[in-house]
Amino acid sequence: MASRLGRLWRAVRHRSTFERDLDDELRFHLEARAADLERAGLPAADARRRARLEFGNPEAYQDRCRRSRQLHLLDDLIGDLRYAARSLRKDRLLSATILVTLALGIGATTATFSIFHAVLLRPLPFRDPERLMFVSAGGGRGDQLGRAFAPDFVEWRDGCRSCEEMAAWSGTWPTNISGGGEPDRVRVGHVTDRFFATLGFQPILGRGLPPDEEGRAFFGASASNVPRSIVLGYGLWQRRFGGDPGVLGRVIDVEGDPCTIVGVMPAGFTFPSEADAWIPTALGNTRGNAFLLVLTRLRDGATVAQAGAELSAIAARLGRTFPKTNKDLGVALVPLHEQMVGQVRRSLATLLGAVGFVLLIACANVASLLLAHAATRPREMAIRATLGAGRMRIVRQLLTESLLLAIAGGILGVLVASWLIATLLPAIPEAVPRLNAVTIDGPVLVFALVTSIGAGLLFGCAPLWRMLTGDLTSPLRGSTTSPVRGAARDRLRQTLVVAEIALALVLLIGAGLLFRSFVRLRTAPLGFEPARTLVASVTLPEVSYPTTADARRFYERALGRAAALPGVEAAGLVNALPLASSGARIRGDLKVEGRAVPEGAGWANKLVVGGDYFRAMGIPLVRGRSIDERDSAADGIAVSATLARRLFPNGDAIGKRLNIGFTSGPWREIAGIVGDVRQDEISAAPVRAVYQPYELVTDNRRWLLADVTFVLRTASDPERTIEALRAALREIDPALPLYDVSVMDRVVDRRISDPKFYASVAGGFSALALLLAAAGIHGLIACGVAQRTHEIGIRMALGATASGVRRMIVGEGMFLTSAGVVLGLASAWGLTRLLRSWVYEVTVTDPATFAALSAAVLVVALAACYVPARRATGIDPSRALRQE
Amino acid sequence: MAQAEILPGTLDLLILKAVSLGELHGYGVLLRIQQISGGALLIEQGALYPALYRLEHQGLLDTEWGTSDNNRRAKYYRLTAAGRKRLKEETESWNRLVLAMGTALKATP
Repeated sequence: MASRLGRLWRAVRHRSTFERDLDDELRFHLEARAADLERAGLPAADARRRARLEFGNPEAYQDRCRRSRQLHLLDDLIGDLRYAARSLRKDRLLSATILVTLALGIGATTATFSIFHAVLLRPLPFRDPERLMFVSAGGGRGDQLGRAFAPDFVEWRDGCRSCEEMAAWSGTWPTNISGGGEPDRVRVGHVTDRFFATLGFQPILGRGLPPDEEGRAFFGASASNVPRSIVLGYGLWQRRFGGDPGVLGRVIDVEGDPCTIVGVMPAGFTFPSEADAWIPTALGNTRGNAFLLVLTRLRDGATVAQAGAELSAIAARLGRTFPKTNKDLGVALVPLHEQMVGQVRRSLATLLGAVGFVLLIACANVASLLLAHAATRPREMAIRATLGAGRMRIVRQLLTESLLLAIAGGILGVLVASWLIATLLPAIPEAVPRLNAVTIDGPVLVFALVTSIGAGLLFGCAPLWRMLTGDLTSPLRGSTTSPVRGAARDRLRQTLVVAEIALALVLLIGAGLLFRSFVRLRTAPLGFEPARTLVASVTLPEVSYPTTADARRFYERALGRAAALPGVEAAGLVNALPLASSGARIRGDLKVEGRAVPEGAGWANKLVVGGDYFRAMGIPLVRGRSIDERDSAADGIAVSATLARRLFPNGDAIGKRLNIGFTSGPWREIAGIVGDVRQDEISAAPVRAVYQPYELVTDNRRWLLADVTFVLRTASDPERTIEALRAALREIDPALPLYDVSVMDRVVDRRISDPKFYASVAGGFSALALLLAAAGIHGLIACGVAQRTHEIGIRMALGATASGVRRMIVGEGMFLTSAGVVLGLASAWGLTRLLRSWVYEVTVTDPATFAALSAAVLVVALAACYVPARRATGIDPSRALRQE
Repeated sequence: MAQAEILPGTLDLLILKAVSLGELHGYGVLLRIQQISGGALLIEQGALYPALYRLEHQGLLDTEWGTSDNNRRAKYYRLTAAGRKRLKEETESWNRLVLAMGTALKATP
């Protein structure tokens, strides 16, 4: 069998050689025969004629030779394709409708797959990425990685035998750099020395970071006169230094500290978080803050379980040695890829499933159109059958037509997909990683091709089924259209339309739930008033503002100037803007003077505020007086309402004293209680918070004041105040850049951009699905009306009223629609549970959503049926009856 | 001498037999069949070629381009091992058929 296929394949490939050889061989025969005859005494011309006569018809024999090689299959295929193309050209409107339907379905599917592929299937750009693991301290909570204490990281690194390399980083921070050009703000990753080696990367220039260098601490200062090291990213090297290979050894200023350039990384390396450059992170030897994210490369041959067991043993030992900080603090290994894309995998897989529904509806529509088309040419098929075309031959012909359509639709679909990607990509949330890798490449094209062929086989089944279950030649014996069996009573097409309606309704309900959830998020009580609020951040360099007092002086002057700007109603500052992605996030336990706090009750966000922060942000004062009134002598702090209730259930919070320091600090009196604020997440309940005025920050806590955001409530348009604020601050310190300038509305919007994106994509898919389903039911009813002209004519001649006929036709359509809606509701009931973790304050079986969207489907279907029904009543009975 | 039309299905057997006696080109196969049958069999010359192609496709014949006696390029056919086996089987079955037919036709009432 295989060798025969091989011969066939060779014959197909060497088709022209085959034909030439065949010609040569037959000609040789004729000439040799003629020569023999001539030798026997015939004249040359007679000999040739005689030879030809004896041979028979060479054309026929050549054809039989080809057939013995099964080459006719190829000829048949080409014939089929030509025939199919001709037949599709003949009905241009039908073909165009089918192609548009397929292009939309395949295009949407391919675009979604290209995102899915780039984000989830393509390997990470690191060496042997499957051996890279995050080491999550405490096992992590939910999707968050647990951060590790620096001394723990050192213990793990030195104690884990299954780990080839281990590195950590504390974060990537926006940083001012200068030297070698204009001052610039770049993203600097704070990493440990083996960071690059762990990921399997080498600098293209110089070396990596030196071991055991004390870098810039995450918090606070460490004044050292020795310049520290910095490694540049390729982009920064090109942009700022023009790709100069002599850049090594040069010293640049990083946040006012001199740093020596010791290396340049290759293009494309920007881990973590799109870093432009990397400096060493200070490890320190305390277990005060767990600030390190830890990454390891497993040794060749070591299993995750082995490494996990070794690390857990170390963690258990540390737990015994340092029970205060490390008790029951486990450790877990999380594959890098899983961590980077785990959160979006389900979202994207669900989207891919949703778009698969759209494609199914498109296929059902095309199948229905092809059935309608086949109904118009039963005679053609019958004639072909009578003329001797075998059943298989006609099957092949029909399949060829379907596949031709599918592949043409697929090519258009790829164009649609590339357009969609170009349009949609900028709208995709930042939370989806690795988006820069989305392109239409080989695997995506293969996907599009396979999808097209699959779709072609799927919708091609319908006309085949019709043909194989019917009697091919009957149309030749009877009339072309039977008045009783019109297309609207065509079971197969009815079933397809019911399925389309059901699928569309499921998608609509899914999208509806996401949309409702988005609206809930949009209108969730934030605890502050984002409108008309300008925000802008500064970072005070340690060199020019070495002490807390320096920072305090700057803020006092800045707040004074900002509050006096025209159009500003209130000006304040905070070190962690609500719902912003950056900023300090400091949480910990509080102590209450004179009594013990129940476990966990004193856990709160600790914020530093200044000026009229609460007024500027629109946070209501619940009780007491505002600490805005800046009388630092009173030691006044504010607490959020929930914290006050939690710590002082009897409602006597005002006047009590708290300690909010990390270890110990002065007691501060509660002056006011303010409203709860959704500080970290819109979808999560407000986190309890304590606010201390910046004036009260003690001298050894300068780092609490290093990064702050100014908040300005304006009378009208906050954007108009930006330049005035910039100018005012420049007068105080011309070298200080203002960054992350925005309005609070935008900050909030970014937080809901993910749900918004998913809701709108799902909305787009379901709108497309509804459109296709409406087109499907419209096509079915219109076709039925066209084929039942005769019947309708008789009815009207017999006295049926126009509205009666309309009711009959619309009734048929609505019966099918209702069946689809019932089926769709049942499926949605089962399927929407997949969305449970996506929605906020909406139940996935929300009756209002289910009811409203069912109604929407019914209304759209009603409109789609009414159009052909109206046309039906325009039928003139006498003309209709003559039509036969 | 009277010539007989060959029976359907026997052309393949004749070709295999002819080629088994030595490598031949298409026209040579024709001549050889006429020679070994004493010129008693009438063959439609063109019909030879679809049969040759079929046998080649079935792997019973091997082909090679060579030079003919009069220095012309010609395609030569040679029996493969499978072809030889087939020839043997077909010959036996043919002999059985002839024997059976002979016996049957000799029968008297």
